[in-house]
Amino acid sequence: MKKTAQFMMLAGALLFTSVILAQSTIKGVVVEAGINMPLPGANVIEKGTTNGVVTDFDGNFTLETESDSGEILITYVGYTTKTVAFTKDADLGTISMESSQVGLQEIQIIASVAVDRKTPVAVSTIKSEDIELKLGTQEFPEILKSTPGVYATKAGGGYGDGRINLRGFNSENVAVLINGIPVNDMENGRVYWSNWAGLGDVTSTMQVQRGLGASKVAVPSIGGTINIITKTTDVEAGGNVFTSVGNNGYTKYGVTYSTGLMDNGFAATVNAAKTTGDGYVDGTEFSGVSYFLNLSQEINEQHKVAFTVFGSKQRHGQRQNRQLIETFRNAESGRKFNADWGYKNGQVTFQEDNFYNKPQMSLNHYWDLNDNTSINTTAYASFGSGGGGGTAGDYKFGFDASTGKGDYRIGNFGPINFDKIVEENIASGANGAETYLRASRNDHNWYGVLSTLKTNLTDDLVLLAGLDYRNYKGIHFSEVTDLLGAEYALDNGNVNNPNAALQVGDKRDYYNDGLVGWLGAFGQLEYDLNENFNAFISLAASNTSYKRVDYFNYLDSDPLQETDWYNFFGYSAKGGANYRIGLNHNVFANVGYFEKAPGFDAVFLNFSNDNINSDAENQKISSFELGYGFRGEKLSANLNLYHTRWNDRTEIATFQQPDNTRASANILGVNAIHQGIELDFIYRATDKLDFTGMLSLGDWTWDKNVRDVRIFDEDQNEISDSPVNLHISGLKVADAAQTTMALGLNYKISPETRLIIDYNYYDDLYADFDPSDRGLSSNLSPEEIDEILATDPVQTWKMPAYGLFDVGFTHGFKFGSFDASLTARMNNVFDTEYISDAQDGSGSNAQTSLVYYGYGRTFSLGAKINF
Amino acid sequence: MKNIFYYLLIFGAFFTGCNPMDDVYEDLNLESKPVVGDVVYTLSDDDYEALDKTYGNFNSEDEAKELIPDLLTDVYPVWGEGSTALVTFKVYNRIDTYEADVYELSDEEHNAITGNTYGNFDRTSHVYQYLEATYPNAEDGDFVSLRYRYYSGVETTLTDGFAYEDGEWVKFTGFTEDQYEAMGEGFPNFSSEDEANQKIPIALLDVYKFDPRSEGDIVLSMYELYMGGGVTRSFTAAYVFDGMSFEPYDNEMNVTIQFGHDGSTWVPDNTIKYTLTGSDVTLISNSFIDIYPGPADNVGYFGSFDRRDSSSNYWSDAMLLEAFNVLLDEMDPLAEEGQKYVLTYVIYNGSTTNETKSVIKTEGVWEYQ
Repeated sequence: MKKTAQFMMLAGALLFTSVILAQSTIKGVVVEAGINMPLPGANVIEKGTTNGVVTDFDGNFTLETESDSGEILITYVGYTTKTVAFTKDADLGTISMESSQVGLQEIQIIASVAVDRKTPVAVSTIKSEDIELKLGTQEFPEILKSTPGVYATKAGGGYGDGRINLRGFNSENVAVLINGIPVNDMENGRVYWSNWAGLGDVTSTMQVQRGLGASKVAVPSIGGTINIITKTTDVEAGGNVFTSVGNNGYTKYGVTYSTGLMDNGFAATVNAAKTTGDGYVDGTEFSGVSYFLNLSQEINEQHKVAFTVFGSKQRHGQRQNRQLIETFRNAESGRKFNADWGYKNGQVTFQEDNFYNKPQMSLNHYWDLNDNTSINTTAYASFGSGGGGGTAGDYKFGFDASTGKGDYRIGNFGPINFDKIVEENIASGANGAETYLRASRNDHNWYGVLSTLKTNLTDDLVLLAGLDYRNYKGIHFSEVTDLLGAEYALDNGNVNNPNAALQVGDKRDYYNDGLVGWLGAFGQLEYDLNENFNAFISLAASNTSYKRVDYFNYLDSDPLQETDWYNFFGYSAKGGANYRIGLNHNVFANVGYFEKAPGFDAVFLNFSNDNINSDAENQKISSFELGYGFRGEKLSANLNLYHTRWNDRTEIATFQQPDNTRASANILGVNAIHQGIELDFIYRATDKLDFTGMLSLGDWTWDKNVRDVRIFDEDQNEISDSPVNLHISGLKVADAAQTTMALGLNYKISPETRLIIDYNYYDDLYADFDPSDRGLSSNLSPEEIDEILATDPVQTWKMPAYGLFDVGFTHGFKFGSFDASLTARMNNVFDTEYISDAQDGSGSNAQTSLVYYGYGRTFSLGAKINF
Repeated sequence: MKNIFYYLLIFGAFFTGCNPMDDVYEDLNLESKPVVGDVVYTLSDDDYEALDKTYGNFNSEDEAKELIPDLLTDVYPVWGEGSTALVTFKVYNRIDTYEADVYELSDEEHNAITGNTYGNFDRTSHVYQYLEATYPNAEDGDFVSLRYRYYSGVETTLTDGFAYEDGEWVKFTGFTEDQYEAMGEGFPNFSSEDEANQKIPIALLDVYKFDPRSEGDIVLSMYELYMGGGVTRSFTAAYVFDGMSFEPYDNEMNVTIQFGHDGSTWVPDNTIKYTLTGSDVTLISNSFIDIYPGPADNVGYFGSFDRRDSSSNYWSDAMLLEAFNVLLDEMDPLAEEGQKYVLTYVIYNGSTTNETKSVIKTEGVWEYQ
């Protein structure tokens, strides 16, 4: 009580002091240099005092100073501190904060980072200061889970196995760019987040642009674009060491060091971290080393070069096979149950695992030709190596879903008894392996150049134009990884070496290359009529070419071993405008259309060289969107309406021709409509307390039935499976929650101490299915087909809605002469049991769906010391 | 500030009060699964005692079928539906033994039957004709031991017993003079019963050398003892084959029956549980490659039946049954009518897992149960 009284008196005294001594009123707007993005939440302090304020949503501040002249300090994480002198009352106008990262501004141009209230797209940005606190030990894409339109899960729960859907679209239709470089797999467009495990440590910003987005290059941004900007090189010399521990043996430690920008214009930053753990899910032990290096050199005023390499070499056990709910319920491990691992000679051995290393290297050249023109070029290369483990030979790993009994299980629902398999393989002797382990390798070599010219044509008009060249070789094969005690494994997959007795490391089953070439060009005109109105139009075109080489299915003497190149043309056109109404409001609209070239597997059907779908259809996407933004003193809010139509999703029928060769037909009309409303807001209750919130209501459905598509062979005979009918009209798009909601609290207990509480809620989530699987039997009469198609198709299983609480806490303090911080995080605080992913089963219900449960309560505690 | 935490607490309690999975679990109504066991069980002396079978055997197979389920319930109290027990037990099965003095046929008695003058029989039916002619009023239980001569290329002297059972003469094959000689006897008889029981089992192995018996088979035999005073007497005896050797039969028969647990009790059940092997799947793949090219190729490649009804490689229940018919007819062509199999095999339904189906042989084909 006494203390409280003292505190009150002190607070009162301070309050009076500041009122009595106020001498000047200083105003200004704090923005990020280069892209002129307002910086809300920047600290503005009168030098030598504790007197300070933070900027509002538009970067504005008003500070009553104690002296009538002096200096104010403006600080913001990730930017170099700015000192501005003042005398008397003054409006300092726009104050540009330079990034503390060398070359970050240029990267942002390459990467098409969207600017709040200017770029007319729906956007959410997460900055590095939040990433550390928000991420914890979660999967990298889960940082975005509180932003509208996002559904991110850990999928099976293995390290790096997370996935993210945007506005209901899966990774094939979500563009992911790291430093402006597209990283969606060149063949089929998927994103493998395990390639980027550890990237969170070196991420400067992560921005999600929903819908068509701001990207100038042709990318598959149907659902949206995830734009990750890594740190570059710190201007200041210094570094940090950090470590964290968490549930299930999670251990991470790492170090960062920057030379700072030296007098000769050179700067380097290096970061490395090692992460190991047992994984929340049984049998998902993991180990990864992530690395990051950035070297930059300012050659002169006009030229700057930077080299970056980063990646993560990791191996982790996977939960590949989903199970029935019944299985999880009956298994002793409950939701942690995983059937895909066991013991061999006392060691954990994975039936399913994943190992990969993909160093991503880029050499950037920033060239300021003059005040109006710059050319930023990045030449990049990445070499992926690794794959996924699995089994070959006799499948001995089965077990009864309800009792958990299996001949090769240690106990009911137990791990795999690899020792028994080893014994049998040894007994098999010269007959070779009955069962062994293999890996499906998916190596690649990828080179690209991305060059962007930016020039101010007039004061109002900016032109951006560029080239996008990519060359990709995917190397696919299966290899023997563990003979499990056998003398050899018999394989007959290679026609050039039939009936081979294989040893560990030998290729088996298949071996082929997928070659992809890409040449694209883009141009964008930005028109800034004045501060309040700006507009853009953007065009991009690209040619994708595919070629396949199959070393196993075709004799070396067979010309079919290597196919011709097959070319596909895609393009996009989009435009939009933003209008600011006064200080508080802005509205924007954007519209776009693009055609996306078919994926590699849609061209080379059934992984073969003699059934080539050379005229595979483009997928066609049209989208329009309206946005409204409000920036008040305490409230900042965004409201978006979107309507995306995805036409002619790749759908292919293959059939037998009279001469027994197989042919294919492209079935058009598998369309989906994704539309919805997204709302997000920040309410600044006090200087210390923010509330954040988000509501995203999606209405994503498959548009109409595919009816009576007749297929003819080359002789114009209708084939027997024809006509094709798909009963999909009104089916909900699955595998992502159509309704999501988030509420958050962000409380600055002190300038160095912060508490965040996040609640996320997911509803209208349907078990995954493939619309191609909703075909009607060709045995039905036309009348029966009519009758069926007139009914509503059965929706897939609607999964239970769920809500999760997360808590994060960070505290900064002095550790000797060093700045140190502790960060603690707990996910799923109430240990809620929920299903995050499901695959629909027959009857579309809870009995038959195969599911992954999400994690229960997890925690981590990290410490960092800066030097 | 404090209020905010209260609100959050209330908010949190509200949202976490309901477990998202509750409704699903209620709908699924997942009962705890029974314990399923498979056992090979031979009744012990204690078991018979517990069932009040003080002689250590059952009166009949039917009695065993009636009593054993309770015993199994006692021994395996928590086992439930799907459990099996292959139970071996003893059934009292008396085989009557006979004895009679040996009667040696004269030449005339032979000739009266054959109508010849050789003083022997040369057809197997002759001895039965003799019996019918000599004992027209035979009654059940009558027994005679005959020493007669039989011509089949050479003439041998045989001593066989014949019992009249259910209106028919049943033959007990005795040992020939050569066989007695092989057993170290100077005369065609033994000196004592003990000697008989010691030597006959060894001799029987030789007798059935080219007509091997199976475990549990009972064979009938007859031997002679010299009683003195020129009288030789025949005795019948039964021996049981235990797979290795013959043992004197003690009027108890070993019977093995499989019982299955139907969810409430144990019932006699001949179900065979079988897990398909890699070569079984290969057999199915090869057998159906022309009939269902896609599914057959797929199962051959992956070793698992694709059970997603949406897949072009889908194995429907009907197709699987066709496959089981091929497999079981190959594996167990002599399976009896009503034979049941519980087959377990690897499937792919999005995950790779096991599936189990029960089939029964009905009118020569395998059908789902």
